[in-house]
Amino acid sequence: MRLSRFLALFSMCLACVLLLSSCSDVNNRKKATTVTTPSGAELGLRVTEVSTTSGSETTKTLDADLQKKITKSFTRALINGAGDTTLFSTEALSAASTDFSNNKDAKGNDVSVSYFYMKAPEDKDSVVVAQYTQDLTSDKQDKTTHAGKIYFDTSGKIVGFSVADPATTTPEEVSS
Amino acid sequence: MRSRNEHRLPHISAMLGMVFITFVLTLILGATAITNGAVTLNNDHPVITITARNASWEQTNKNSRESERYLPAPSGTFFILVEGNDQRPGVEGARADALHLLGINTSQNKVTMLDFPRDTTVAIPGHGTNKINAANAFGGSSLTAQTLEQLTGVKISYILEANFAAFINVVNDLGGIDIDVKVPMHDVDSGAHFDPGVKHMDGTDTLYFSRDRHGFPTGDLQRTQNQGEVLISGLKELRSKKKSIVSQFESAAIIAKDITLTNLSLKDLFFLMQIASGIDPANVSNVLVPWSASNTLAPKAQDLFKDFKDNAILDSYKP
Repeated sequence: MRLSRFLALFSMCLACVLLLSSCSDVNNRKKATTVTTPSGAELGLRVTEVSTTSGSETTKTLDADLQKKITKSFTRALINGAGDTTLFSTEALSAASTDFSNNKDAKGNDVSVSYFYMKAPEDKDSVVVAQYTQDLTSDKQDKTTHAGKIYFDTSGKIVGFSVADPATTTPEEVSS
Repeated sequence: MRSRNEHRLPHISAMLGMVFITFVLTLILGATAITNGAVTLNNDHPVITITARNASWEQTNKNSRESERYLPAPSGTFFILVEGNDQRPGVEGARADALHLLGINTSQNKVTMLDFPRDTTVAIPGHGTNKINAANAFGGSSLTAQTLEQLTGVKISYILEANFAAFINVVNDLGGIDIDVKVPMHDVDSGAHFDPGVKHMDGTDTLYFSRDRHGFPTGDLQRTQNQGEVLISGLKELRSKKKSIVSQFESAAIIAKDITLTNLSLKDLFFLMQIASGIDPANVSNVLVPWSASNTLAPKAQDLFKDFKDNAILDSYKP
């Protein structure tokens, strides 16, 4: 009898731990984290969604190591811009200069991103898409919003991108 | 026991939900059905084949790219041959009975589709002069592509080829499509019975619409152009169904599994989808290649090809 009670209690505790653990994971995923470069530039990052598609099956998960690798490249691209040449494939780099600016001196750099991973049978055919919105604030408090998609291979190299024209608002426009 | 076909059809429809170039299949499949007078499914052969003929887009990329986008896929202008043939068991030497050459300008997200009537007399490399649809019987879609390249001066990057397939199912899986019927169509042979006006057609009706060539003074010419209209109507339907990146991933995988791909990877397909998703149907021009008497091209066709081949946008050509 005691043993069965113990097992029941243990099971409940285990369930609670698992539940809290999963909730914690969700919260962490949606919680903004601050990425800081060696030069001191900062970027606020909020990951809103992740998924992995293998064949026609999709799960709401992403390999932690891969996410770490992609996040590192992604945030560097949105802080350093195309000047960080090692982030880009040769072809993508030749096209990126006007679309990825240097934001090291931005007063605010807040990014919301979703990562979608297409896992192909051959790794060289896999793609990770980072679909993002970036809110930049200049030292004059001008706000610019960029939105787009950046395509990565699984090594974290940027192989393509699609960036919409930025929308800009000045402090005057905001106050009026 | 479920046949392989029953498994395949939903995959095809899912695929069509995403890819513009793949939507062209509805056109091909419709035309194939026209040729044979009935829709028959056959799974002993691939329904659809997509072939990448060359990787010339790297060169194009260096010369032309819009500033907000770079994809590891064709940019600038590239061309796709869309071919429907009448291949089926017991029939040898399939002929291409639906021929459309798509020029896709990725910088401006515009498409021009040239419709070639199947009876057009042209020079076929190594085979003298013959109807254009005979090229496929002589040398497959590759020779058809060579024939069109010789005729128009463009370099074809992809061939999208289909034989017998499930046109009705595809349109039904899309939930039907809206087609503007311009003139009364009442034709016993094709089954088309439509009054003028915009009709929401299911797969069967769309097939009837695509089959009719008796209701028009220009017969097959109008039918060829109607097939193009079906394609554009379908693209509108697809655009109205906004799809997520995840569903595009899944569709790419389905395509790669169910369709014969030559020189094309899963990643390539996905990036082609990204291009396709940027194309507004309003920016698709459907142009019938001009004919003169006795099934030959009108001299004006050369003006069309000249205007078409540089950027796939008709700047100076007037029909």
